[in-house]
Amino acid sequence: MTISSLIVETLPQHTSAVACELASREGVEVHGVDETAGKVVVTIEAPGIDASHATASGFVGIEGVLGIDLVYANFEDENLGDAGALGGE
Amino acid sequence: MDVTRRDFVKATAIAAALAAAGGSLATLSGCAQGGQSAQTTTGESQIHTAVCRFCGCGCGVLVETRDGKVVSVTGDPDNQSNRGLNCIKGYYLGKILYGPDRLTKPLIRDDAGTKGTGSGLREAEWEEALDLVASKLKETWKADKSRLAFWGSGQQPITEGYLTAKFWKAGLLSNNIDPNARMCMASAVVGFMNVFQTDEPAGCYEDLDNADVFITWGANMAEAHPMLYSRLTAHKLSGDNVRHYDLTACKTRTSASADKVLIFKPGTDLAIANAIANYLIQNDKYDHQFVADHLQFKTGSENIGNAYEDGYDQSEQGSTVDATTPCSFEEYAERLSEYTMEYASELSGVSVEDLTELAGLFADPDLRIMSLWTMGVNQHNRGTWMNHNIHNLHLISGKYGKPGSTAFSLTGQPSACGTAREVGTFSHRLPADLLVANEDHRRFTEAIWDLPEGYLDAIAKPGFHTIKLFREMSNGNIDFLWSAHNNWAQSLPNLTRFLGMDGEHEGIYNTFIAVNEVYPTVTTDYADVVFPVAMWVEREGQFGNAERRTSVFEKAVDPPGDAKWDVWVLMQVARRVLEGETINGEDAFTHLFGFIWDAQADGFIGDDREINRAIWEEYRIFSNPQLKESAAAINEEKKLKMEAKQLAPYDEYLTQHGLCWPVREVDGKWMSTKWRFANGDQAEGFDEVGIAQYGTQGLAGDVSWYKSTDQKPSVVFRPYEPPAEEPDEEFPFWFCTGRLLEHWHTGSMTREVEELNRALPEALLYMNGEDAAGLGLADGDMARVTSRHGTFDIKVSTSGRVDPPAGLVFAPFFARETMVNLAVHDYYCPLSKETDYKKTCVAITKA
Repeated sequence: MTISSLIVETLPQHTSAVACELASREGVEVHGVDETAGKVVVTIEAPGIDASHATASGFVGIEGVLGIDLVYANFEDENLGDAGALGGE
Repeated sequence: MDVTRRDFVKATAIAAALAAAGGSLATLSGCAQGGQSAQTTTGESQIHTAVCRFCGCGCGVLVETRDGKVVSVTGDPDNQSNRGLNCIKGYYLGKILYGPDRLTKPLIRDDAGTKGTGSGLREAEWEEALDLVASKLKETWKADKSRLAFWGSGQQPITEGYLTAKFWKAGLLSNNIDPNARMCMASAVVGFMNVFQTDEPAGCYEDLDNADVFITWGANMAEAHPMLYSRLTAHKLSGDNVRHYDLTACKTRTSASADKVLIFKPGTDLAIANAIANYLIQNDKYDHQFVADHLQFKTGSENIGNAYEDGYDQSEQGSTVDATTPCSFEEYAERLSEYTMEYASELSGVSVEDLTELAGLFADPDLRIMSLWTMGVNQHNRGTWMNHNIHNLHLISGKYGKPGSTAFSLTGQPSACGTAREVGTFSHRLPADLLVANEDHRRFTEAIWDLPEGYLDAIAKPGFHTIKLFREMSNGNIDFLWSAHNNWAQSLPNLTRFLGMDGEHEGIYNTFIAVNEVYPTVTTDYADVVFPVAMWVEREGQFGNAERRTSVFEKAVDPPGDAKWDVWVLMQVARRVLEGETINGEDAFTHLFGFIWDAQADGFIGDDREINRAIWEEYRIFSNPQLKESAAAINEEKKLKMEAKQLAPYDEYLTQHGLCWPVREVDGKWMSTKWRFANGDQAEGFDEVGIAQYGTQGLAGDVSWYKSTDQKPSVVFRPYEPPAEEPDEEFPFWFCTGRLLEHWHTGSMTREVEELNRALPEALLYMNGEDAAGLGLADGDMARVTSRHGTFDIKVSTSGRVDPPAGLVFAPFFARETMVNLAVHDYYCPLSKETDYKKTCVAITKA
């Protein structure tokens, strides 16, 4: 499990619609919305870094989304650096 | 992870994001349990301060490790460059260290005939690899110094670049050292040096929070500088009337969110800038007081041609490109006068109305304008001139100095500024803006390096710049080449020639090539020896980003296998090569490097932190001459004003999470300068100390360019001259190359990451739909792209991710299986020697 948090930057008139859309996506939870600044704070829980990245990348296509800022990513379950990890996935 | 741990990690994630969001959301962050303390409460984990490895933004990150492994990354809230935010490439900061192809053993090629075949390297022990490289270097050095070279990088940390430059310049007395930053920033550097006599932007990232108008000049910030673009768009939303004009030769994702997109014909940006300057003067809308207080005017060499031939630099035309002549404001205005809106419109294809609208912005004294540029302006056959023309505009309109009003060159690599530009790992430079050709600068450097007076006179003549170096190599005139932190066999232009594929230039096969690398690349495929080295936080280092901010990244984990820190490799080679040499009667190696290396014990004196601190404290004397009496005396006598780039003691960078130079000590506290040459409170980031020491108060705009000659920046008239190649019947299309979001440069790191590779699996040729249809090409068809220089095959896309106008095509250069640089010409700006990667003329056919 990879757990990450992000700020999704939106056009203010789209902020609440974007927040609804984000909340409907698998593994995504909305934790805060600032409609004036157009910011939505979310977490993504997904099975691994690649899946988390794929979920976050998918936000680009939502109407009104201007940018995605990653704040925190915990990938302790990936066991990076284990002998096995160097040999491939 | 178990449920308790999961809840805890999630609370940490939420708290960090709410805090970074700021505003009303930040007040919620206290409600989320966890926060910063989450990482430390597990007991066994450690937090290391670091800087992101990708791109030139230089974002701070906190790296958490447990049992020697990276387990999380957080945007560093205390690093003022990014204030806790990263782009989504940050997901891979940990994983990028552990790609399956990571190099962990030294490699040796026994048969040079296997170069470029994808095989022929065998594993070796360090002793054998080091002995081999050192013997080849020494042999070349003793036989003919002009036949050796080092090609470095804007990705080398500062202390590593500094030591390499010291070994090359003082140890080997060779100027044949140049960085890949030559192909990225050199036009910006020469622009800053010519205009201000000091390198790097005067402004900072906070200007993005203060501008009324943004102008991007040929820059796709949305993909190449995502964090800075995010800051730009955030500011646009916060203001009622913040506008963004995108001047570009090709529509990109940046154009998509701009208020207005002005598409110009390649190369005509020179004329556009001149037309705006002419408009301001003709309509008496320039800033009279600013001009009177601050500016001097010049003309320069014109009709300077292009480096079509190898001997261009030495030709009469090529050797006089830097010449300038003082002129009056009226003479400058007279030269500009031919640049009417109509003429610029006719050349560029931008309408007179749009050009006039743009000029109107500069004419409005109340607007704060921030110009942003990067490769479109720098990789330009008149790149230095175009840098001049942007500065000219901002200077005559007085839009320079106030937060939000500035001409800001973006940078492409994490430490192109810190290492290549500030340390000066160039063929014509010494540290801290100093030049090998300047006698005073050599004396000052000798004083710091404890060299006998006159010792560096042996390197008074600049060495080979990048293209000169590789042209010489292809001609069979280089016997030894060492490269680090770059992938030149994919990133250089004109690879058909440089990789010996034209049947004429096969020097690469006879050059002994050593490469420091972390993953296999096209370049390691041409290496005779590959040194596996530490990557990112596997050792301590420092990056210097585009806003003059120096940040330290701490060592967090060990390098894998037998991989070693670059400094260890350098010291091992230097010790062998300098054996038996003396400086001032002392062993040369000990004289230069004895402060960090115990020759008897053959090892470092201290750990990573202590070694970095020791190197930094020596390097810091260049900008703090008072630390050494002999240097201070030369600084004062020769009026070098070296404090203009003042750096702080090493540990300040760790405790303050990065500082922007010049860093000033006020009442015992070291403070950044965010707005150089702008007067105001030092504690708020203005250049109070610098102006008090060397400048003048009370001038227009309350700025003082104290490092410029006579304290006056130079406005130099630079005309429009056409690109090195222009479309004709045989080669009717412009070909432009660059970067896209998912892959960084040649993809040597990002293509190791499965998901990034899935997101953008192949390089595509982005074409205008009508152009494609006219050639009978549909989406997904294979096309053959041919220039005067080479050819490659590539799949066509008309999807519009990059949406070129008719007559122009774009493809990124990240894919080694689609080597676009086989066809790109190597003609460079005659002043900066930076190649124009954006304007090769090509023919396109169905493959």
